[in-house]
Amino acid sequence: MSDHASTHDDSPAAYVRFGPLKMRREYFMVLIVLSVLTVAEIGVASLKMDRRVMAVLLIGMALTKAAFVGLYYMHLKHEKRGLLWMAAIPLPLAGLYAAALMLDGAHLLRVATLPWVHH
Amino acid sequence: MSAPSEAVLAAPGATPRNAPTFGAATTGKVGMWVFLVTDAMTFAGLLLAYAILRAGNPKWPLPSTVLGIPFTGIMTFVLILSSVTMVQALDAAKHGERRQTALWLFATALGGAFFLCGQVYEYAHLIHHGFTLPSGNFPATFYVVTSFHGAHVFTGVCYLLITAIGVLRGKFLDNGANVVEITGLFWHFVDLIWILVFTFVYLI
Repeated sequence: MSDHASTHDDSPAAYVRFGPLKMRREYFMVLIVLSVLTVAEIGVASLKMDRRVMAVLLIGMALTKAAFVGLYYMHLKHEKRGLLWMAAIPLPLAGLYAAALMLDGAHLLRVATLPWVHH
Repeated sequence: MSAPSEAVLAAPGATPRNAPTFGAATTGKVGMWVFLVTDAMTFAGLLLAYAILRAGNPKWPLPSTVLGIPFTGIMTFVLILSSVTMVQALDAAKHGERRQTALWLFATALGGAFFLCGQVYEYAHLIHHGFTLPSGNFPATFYVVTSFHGAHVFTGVCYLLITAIGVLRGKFLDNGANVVEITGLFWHFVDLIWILVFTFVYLI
């Protein structure tokens, strides 16, 4: 069996549009960005600063990293919009769900002493 | 009556590859995306439980005082590196390079195995110091979230090994290396989730 099966017609849109060399360069650029952001996160976490500011910075960096992985490594950047929307639409809904649960949780914790929450 | 699309008229059993909504995405790939979105919701639920319990407890310890951040940082870097080896595997698969594809897939699985070993070492260390599941809300939520992710890493390693062995046996490089691409989607998702878990559970 040949080690080099013909895959010319099966190339994904990204390869057709940008070529493998550019894609490889893109992958390594993303690796550098993810590595730098990881080091920056650990650096920020070790700083003595306001916890709320720190949380905002860390969440911002984490979401940036997650977006890079999704867009470049999972190829969402090069997919058709239909697939992109399928992955993107639940995110704000999850955000709304999270906000509702957080508010509900905060309310419950104020008005009731829950047996499983140690104060 | 309008004529059926070319995708619908494909050979019996063939995967429609050019559905207008999703472009060249196969049904398998769309199916994996649907699964990943639902799986992400599960992780979101667990992280929310962690956040709610933490917000309600002013005595919640600072994670960096209990957990080994530099060690976990190295584990995180290894997982990010394994995502790069995964895209290299897909790149090789797209070019029909069977041995290279298998090699990169094995390298990715090795990264995952390293991560799992690190997690076992971390658990053993923490349990030795009394950070056990029933010892409080922080340990309980920590172990549930990280072990659930660890189960995904373990599944991913098995998935990668099965795909790598299949590639070596002459399978999976047809249809635009669709199987390798779907395997990669799962693996990158595992990496993506860890990025969030690392920040929310270890750093904040």
